Amino acid sequence: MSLGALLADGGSDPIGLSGRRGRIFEQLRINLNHHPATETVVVRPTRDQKDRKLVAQFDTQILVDGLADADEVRLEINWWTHPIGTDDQLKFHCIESSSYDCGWHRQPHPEESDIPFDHFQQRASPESDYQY
Amino acid sequence: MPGVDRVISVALTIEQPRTADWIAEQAAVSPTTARSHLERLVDLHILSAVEQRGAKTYYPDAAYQRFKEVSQLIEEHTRNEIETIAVTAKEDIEELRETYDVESPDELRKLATAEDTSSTEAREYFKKASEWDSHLHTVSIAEEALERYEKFSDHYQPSVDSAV
Repeated sequence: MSLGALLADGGSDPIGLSGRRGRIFEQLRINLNHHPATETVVVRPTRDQKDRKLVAQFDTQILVDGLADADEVRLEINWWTHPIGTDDQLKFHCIESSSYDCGWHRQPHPEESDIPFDHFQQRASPESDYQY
Repeated sequence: MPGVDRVISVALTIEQPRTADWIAEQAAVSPTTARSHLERLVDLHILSAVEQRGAKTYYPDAAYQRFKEVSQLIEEHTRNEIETIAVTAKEDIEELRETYDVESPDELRKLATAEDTSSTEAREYFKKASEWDSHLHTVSIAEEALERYEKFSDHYQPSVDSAV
């Protein structure tokens, strides 16, 4: 156990033991369900099938008042918790059926030192490169 | 979202005990409002409170959280499904151990910060370490659920008479 996981009274960290990542997913699910545009919120396996992510489907008429061309919009969310001393990493990525997608990520970016830990990225279609 | 929901959202997802002022700022409510909601959550045993360096801090109550997770698993899954969940998580852990040749998520995080690790690898290692933590937690919750399955499932099933 790391030193950071110890409490002032010398006991072990009760929070880490009780699954913070699960609680974050649960709270995100509850918060998303509070939004009037949310149609469904489900937990789905990630591409490599080894982990899970939250996927919310929105009613586009309510979400953007009919301004988006897309018929369907979904938000994919992931959140990776770490012990005290290491920042959590996360992403909120929006994907439209028109092919446009964008996201707010808090992750180190592969081989691009000028892209900050917190960054916004978007692209017109899955074939295009991301713009930051 | 109402203030009380924001206070709950922040208080249940913090990574270490925090003061009412800290939670109030994160939840965008006044410290007085936060304190009153937090004290109510302590009364309900959803949060625990502890004095740290003269300041009162709050954090999710470990016993309550664990009980809730185990109960949810039992309510939503059959015994066989819970067994599958535990086995799958153990297999995923074994695969991570073999793939990265390390014994724990923390060892994988150390690998991520090593000098000759590229940023692509570092990002992957941090993700996988967090997933590893989740799998370990799943195994521990699923095993406790299996131990308590009989007791709880009796409690949740409607009796035959009530179906008439």
